[in-house]
Amino acid sequence: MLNFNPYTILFTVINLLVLWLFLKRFLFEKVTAILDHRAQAIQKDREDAADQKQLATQLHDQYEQQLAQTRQESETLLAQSRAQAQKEYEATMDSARADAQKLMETTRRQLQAERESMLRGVRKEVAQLALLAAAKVAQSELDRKNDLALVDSFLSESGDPS
Amino acid sequence: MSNIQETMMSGMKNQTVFTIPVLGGIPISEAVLTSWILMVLMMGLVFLLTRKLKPDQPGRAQAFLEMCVGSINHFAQDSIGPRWRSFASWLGTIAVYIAAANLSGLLGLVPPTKDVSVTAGLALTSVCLIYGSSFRFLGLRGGLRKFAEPMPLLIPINIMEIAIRPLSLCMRLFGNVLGSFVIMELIKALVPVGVPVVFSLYFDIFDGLIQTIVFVFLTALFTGETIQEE
Repeated sequence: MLNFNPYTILFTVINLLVLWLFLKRFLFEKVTAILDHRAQAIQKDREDAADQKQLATQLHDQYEQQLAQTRQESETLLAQSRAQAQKEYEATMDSARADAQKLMETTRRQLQAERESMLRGVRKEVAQLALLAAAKVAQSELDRKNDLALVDSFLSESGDPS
Repeated sequence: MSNIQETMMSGMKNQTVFTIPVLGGIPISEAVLTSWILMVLMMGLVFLLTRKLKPDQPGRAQAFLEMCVGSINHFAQDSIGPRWRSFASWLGTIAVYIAAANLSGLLGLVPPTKDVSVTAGLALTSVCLIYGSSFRFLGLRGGLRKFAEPMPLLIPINIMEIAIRPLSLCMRLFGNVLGSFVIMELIKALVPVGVPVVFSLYFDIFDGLIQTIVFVFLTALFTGETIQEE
């Protein structure tokens, strides 16, 4: 039962070595190479993904920044144009107001002038009428010049011309 | 009664199948012949399965092989450390061989591991691996210094271990397989139908695989221990 057979021991060792060389060559090295290859591929994929993620984050930040900048610019632009518009509006309004004022002033002055000239005419007419009437009354031709002055003063005393 | 005794005795004997008539006759025992049969089967199977390996889309057979090799690699990594690559294939080979040998009873063959000479051969290779790798990786000085660890007082015990380790590996495997084999023979002699199947599940499959794991695990453990640097 417990008799060691040197040939069997020797053959077992040889068998194991042969089996080892075969399995190493055809099983373990092949499959381990595939496993290593896959592990490397996975590692590489992972690194690539991390890189891309970082890039994406970077781009995102960049776009965000650009967007904020653009928004700010547009706000500035808008405020500027609004201020400009306001200024122009006021300027236009001011000039319009001034024009109107001027027009009114001119009109008033004209009116005044016309009124005065009319009054002056009327006064002259009235004086001549009065003179005529007085002459008729007195039946005599008076000294035209003296009497006209007399009537004028009379009219001035008798009431405010306006 | 004498019938049972006869069965037991014949179960324990190692038959010589034939003799190669060179150098005064080389006896080929049953165990060696069975080993050859198993090796041819395993090599053929491995050759067929690994002919077309695809790195990207593994088929079912490839996935199974990857799982087996991957777990052996993992095991080697865990027990041996960074130098596992040199050892994984050897550990895998003895695991496959012992598992096939222990389970060969299911095919109606006589398990080669029931022959103490076969387990002695296995243990011999293991002890060569353990001490050989120690000197290979740590150098002569480092390998010798390993015998004085953890303290110089233990040098005699460490030297005795050179003989004790293979002896325990050899005897454990041999005893378990022989015991299972003899018990299975007895059960088959007593109840030829039905009952042996149930016992075969334990004695052939469970015990066979456990002994495989124990042998490989201890070999890996001892190797990892002896090549460990301070």
